[in-house]
Amino acid sequence: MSQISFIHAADLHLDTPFRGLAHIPDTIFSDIRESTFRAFRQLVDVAIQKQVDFVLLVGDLFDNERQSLKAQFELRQGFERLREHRIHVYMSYGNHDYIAGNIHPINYPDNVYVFPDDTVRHVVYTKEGRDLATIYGFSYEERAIHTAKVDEYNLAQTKTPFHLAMLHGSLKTNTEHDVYAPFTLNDLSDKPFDYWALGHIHKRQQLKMNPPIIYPGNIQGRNRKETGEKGCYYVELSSESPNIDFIPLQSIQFQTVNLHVDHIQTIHQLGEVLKAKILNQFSTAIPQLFDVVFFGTQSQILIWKSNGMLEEVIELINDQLITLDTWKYIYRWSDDIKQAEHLDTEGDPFMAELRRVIESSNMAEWLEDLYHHREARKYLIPMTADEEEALKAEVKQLLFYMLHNKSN
Amino acid sequence: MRFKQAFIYGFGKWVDYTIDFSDSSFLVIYGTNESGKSTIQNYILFMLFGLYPSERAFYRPKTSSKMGGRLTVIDPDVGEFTIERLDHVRNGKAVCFTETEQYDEEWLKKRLNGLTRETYQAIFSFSAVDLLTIRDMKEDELSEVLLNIGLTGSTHIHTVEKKLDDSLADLFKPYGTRPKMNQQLSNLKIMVTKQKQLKDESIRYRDKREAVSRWQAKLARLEERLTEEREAFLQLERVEQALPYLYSYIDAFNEKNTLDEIIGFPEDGILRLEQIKENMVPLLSEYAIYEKNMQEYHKKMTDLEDVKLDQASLEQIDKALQYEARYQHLNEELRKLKKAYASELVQLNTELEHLNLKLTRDGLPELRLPFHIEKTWLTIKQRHEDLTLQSEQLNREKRMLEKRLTQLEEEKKSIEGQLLSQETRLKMEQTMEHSKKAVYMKMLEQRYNRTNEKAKTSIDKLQQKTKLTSIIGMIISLISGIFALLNESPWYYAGILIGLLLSGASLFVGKKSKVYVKQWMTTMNEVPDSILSQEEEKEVLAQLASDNTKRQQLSSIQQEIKKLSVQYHVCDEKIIDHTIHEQQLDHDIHEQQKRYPFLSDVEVSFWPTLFHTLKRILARHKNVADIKTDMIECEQHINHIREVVIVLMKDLRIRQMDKAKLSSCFEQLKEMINDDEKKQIKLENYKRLSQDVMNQLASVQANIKIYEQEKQLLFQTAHAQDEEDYYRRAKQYERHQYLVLKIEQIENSYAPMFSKKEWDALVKEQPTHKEISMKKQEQALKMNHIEEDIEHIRKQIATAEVEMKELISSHAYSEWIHRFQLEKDELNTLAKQWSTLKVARMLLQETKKKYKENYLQHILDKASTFFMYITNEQYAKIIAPTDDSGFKVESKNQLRYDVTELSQGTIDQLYVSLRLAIGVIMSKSERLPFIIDDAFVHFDGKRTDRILDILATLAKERQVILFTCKKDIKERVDQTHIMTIENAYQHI
Repeated sequence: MSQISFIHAADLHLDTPFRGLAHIPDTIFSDIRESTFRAFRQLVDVAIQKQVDFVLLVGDLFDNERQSLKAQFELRQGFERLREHRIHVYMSYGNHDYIAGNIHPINYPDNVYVFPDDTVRHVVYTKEGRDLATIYGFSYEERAIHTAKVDEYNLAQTKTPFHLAMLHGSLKTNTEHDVYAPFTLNDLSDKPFDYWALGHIHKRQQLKMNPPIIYPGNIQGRNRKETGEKGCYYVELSSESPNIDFIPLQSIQFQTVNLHVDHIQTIHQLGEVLKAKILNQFSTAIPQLFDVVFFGTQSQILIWKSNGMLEEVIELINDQLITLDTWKYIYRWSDDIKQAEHLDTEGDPFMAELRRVIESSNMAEWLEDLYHHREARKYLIPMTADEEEALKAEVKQLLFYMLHNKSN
Repeated sequence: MRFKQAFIYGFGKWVDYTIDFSDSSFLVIYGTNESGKSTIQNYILFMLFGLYPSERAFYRPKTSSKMGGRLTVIDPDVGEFTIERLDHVRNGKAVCFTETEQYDEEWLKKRLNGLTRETYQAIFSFSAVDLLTIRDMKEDELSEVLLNIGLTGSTHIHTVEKKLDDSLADLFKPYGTRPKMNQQLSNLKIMVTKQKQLKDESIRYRDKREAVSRWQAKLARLEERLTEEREAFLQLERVEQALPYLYSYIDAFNEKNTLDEIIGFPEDGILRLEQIKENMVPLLSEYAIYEKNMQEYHKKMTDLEDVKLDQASLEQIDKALQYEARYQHLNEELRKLKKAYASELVQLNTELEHLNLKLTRDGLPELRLPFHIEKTWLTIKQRHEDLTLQSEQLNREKRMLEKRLTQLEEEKKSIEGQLLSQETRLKMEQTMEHSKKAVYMKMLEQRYNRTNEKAKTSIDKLQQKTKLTSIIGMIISLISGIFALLNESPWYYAGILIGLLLSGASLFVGKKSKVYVKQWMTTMNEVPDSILSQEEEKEVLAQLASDNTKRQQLSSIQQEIKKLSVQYHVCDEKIIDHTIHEQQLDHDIHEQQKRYPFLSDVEVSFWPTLFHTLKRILARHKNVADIKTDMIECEQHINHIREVVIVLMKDLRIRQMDKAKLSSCFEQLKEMINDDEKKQIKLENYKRLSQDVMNQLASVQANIKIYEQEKQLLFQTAHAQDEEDYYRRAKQYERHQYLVLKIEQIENSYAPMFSKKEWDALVKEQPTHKEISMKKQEQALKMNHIEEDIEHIRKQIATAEVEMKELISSHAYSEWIHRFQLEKDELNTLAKQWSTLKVARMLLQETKKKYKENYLQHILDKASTFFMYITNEQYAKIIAPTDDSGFKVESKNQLRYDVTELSQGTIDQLYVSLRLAIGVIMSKSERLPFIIDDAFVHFDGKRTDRILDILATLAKERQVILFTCKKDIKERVDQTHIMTIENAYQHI
């Protein structure tokens, strides 16, 4: 009876930094830095523990743009450990670790098969003299592939019971990410493969179950949008229906906390509520990074925000959180206040004028000083339209607050 | 909104005081200074907007404990309500009462449309104090005024602006370093530079890795080489082991090679040869017997032949015997010749003696008398005779001439003695001449002239001629010269010469003739001066005649002498010639004598005779010599025969009895020949016998030959020269076979160790033990080096790998990546903050600008209308101030005046117009009451009326409250509108 088991993972992005953290304490910095490696080691541990036949790594193992030797080194070490347990690795390069851009090509041990170019090729997995699976895939040679690689996936003349396809790309309909090697769900399901191991999209998705078409997501969240559990799939294929389990690997988790603040009277109270919520609602075993959103209708929070008290309180909470056995840390906070008391500007011609000017303003021009600054522009991320809107709202809030509140 | 009534519980000086704003919308409150007008104003403001506790404390009345009051207003929306404020109740906050409801402060604020005290003051209230400011008002200040009109008020906007600016400056300055973001930027910059270093680290890793792979390749090469060298070393060892065998192989091989020349040897060669030899033995012994017999005969024959004369000797003896007859004949002839010789010699000697000359017989052979000598000697003899004769003649002639000359000389002397002296004669002749000349002179004079000219012409002609001749001569020589050059003929040279001579001669003649003519002409000019007498002339003539005769004699004698002396000289000459001839002859004689010395003893005249005698003697002498020669020849022949015979005798070893006697010799020889003939017969006998034996031998030999051929055949196959050689070859053949076997054995035993090529090479090289061990050492050394190299490279690789491991496990770059991202995020966060502030700041600025643009013009227009009315259309327009100039006004005749050029009153009016305009424009919706505090101080009566008109008009739409201390205003206003404060006070 034929049966294979394997791990499906993608987008390891080893040794790539987290985004949007700004200043964080040194105590957690090293954990953050190590997080991708820990997740990868975890992956290797899982593979060994589950005694899988092989591991599929579908692209973006590291980032060429920020490629460290350490990433290569860890990767090889992991592969060597797998080799000790006779676990094969089939890997392809994606748009982030495309072959031409790899400045530290390292020889991997012989249990690793790397799809060498952007032609779809296949390789046969043999176990105890039996050809068990044919694995198909391709690597990115250059930064991008815009052709529909899916068309090149055709069954090879092999007599293996299983055919697994590795594809690093995205659905044509995907608008959130760069669309590489585009495909439609039907493109994939129409082909007679037993498993579509996808990569590129960091959000875990089981697009279809028959046959399984799966994005495992990345193994470690690295910004506030990559929240929740991150990991790989453990897959068992047999003549019966496939068994597919998600196994979390992440060593640090991103979380979002929404805190309703209308009922809160004092800043102290706010701190207590927030802390309690973080400690009680998120009591996992791994460190967590929190993005807190205060929402409500009361302007009190704005006052605390503008006079720095809010920041102080959060710092205070963080000081406590990071000393926990598994630390927690609020790396970002924002407010979403729909002000109930709206500023009466009817009688003030100046305020009326101000409102009009805000709506018709050209903010980009005013920000040139910074965003066109010779040094600064190298590091600044240009604002998106959404961000500009958010900024406008923020400015409005600020100005109305400031002009209105004469006591400050 | 209008104020209806105010009831002051206590506020400043006012306690329990009621102000009734009555129903009138235009109210003038009159009061003297310090009457509390301002306090009332403040009270109204307090009621409307409240006061801070400290301000409230200021207005706390000294006479009452109660501070606060009420103000009843009429609102167009809610109708009448009353505002109450009490210092100690609700912290001064207002309570509003309508007829039914009670409201708090917030409600009041809403009623006031959020209007603040400041705004209210800015729009609706102004006082005389404010009027001062307009004079220096610039654009900004005007803007301030405008801003202050809004709800927020300019100060607050400024505060906000300042706050924003401060925050912005804290965050970022485009060229700063201190602000947060600038610091962050420099942080990032430092990090980027650090990244370069870190990247270098990865480059170092890459370099190391490349180096390692290079070293590994080198290592592989070296290891390969090492195995090669090891193999070579082993090979050397094998060679060393094989060396003894190699040498024996080489020896065997070489030996075999030398033996290889013997190609083939007959099968069982030795045995076959032995058989042949066995067969041959009896034949050989037979052969030996015959041979022995044969030898005997031969010995006898040779013995005979030895004794026997050989053919040559026989021939020689025959030859010698032939000489015998000739010898006899020669002896006879010799004897005859000797006799003839003796007689001839005697005759010759006698003849020589006869001659008696210095000539001996020995000298004869050298004497040669050629045919011409006879003639020579004859000539000499004749010449000698002739000369002797001539000499005598000449001597005689000479003597005669001498005698005659002496005679004549004497005669001459005697005549000379009789002659006149030359001087006397000359004198005499001169005298004669002179006289003659004198006579002829005259005669000649005439002729002279003629002749002179003639002569001259002739001379000229002559000269011309000579010139011509010379020219011709020149031409001739020139032409000849040319021809001579062209033809090189001697005739032309002669021509040149002739030409030259001709020209030379003619020139000479020309010159001479000139001289001559001159001389001649001079002589002609000499004129004699004396003339002799007749007698004198005669005497002189006689003297002269005798003298002349004598002189003639003398000259003839002289001529004679001259003639003789010529003859004498001729004679002398002849004598000299003769002597020369004599000398020549002597010379010839001498010559002959030198040649023939004997001639010196003979007179020249006898020489021809002597010649003939000598000729005869010489002939005889020749005869003698001939005989002598014949004799010698004869003797020579005899001697020759003797020698031949003697030699022969010697050759034949015959002892000579007598050398001289050849005849005996001949005898002996004859005997010998006889002997020999006998021996010859014997010899023939033996020869026959030997021939028989010979035949027998031949038959035996033929038999032997058959075997011999067989043997030779064997030899031939073995390539042997002879039997010995054959046996040797047999041995060699055997040896060869052995060697081939041996070589094969050695080859076979070493075939597994060495290839054919290697073995051949070894054989060729023939390495010695020493060489091999040397090579082994070298090889070992080489291996050592390579091993060292390998070790070295391994170490390098190990070190590099360690370094690589260090590099690869270095977290620096990894850490940097993360840190850098954090810092960037930080910068972006700050950028967001900055952006918010910046946008806020810019918005404010923009709004202010727009705000001003929107309202300013309306206000100015309205103000212009008011101003025009107040000034009775003296001024038509107010022009807004700019940055550098204040307000301007335009008069009705369109002249513009700066505000400073206006009178105080007009300035005040301008300000009032402006404030009223602001109030009207800015508060269209509010329509709060105007409160004006004595703003018309400098107004004249007319203008005061007019402003009051305006206020009255305005009051139709809103309440206007004017505080004043001026009575004339009070008087100008309708009394119903006036409220006097004293009154009110008193009213309490």
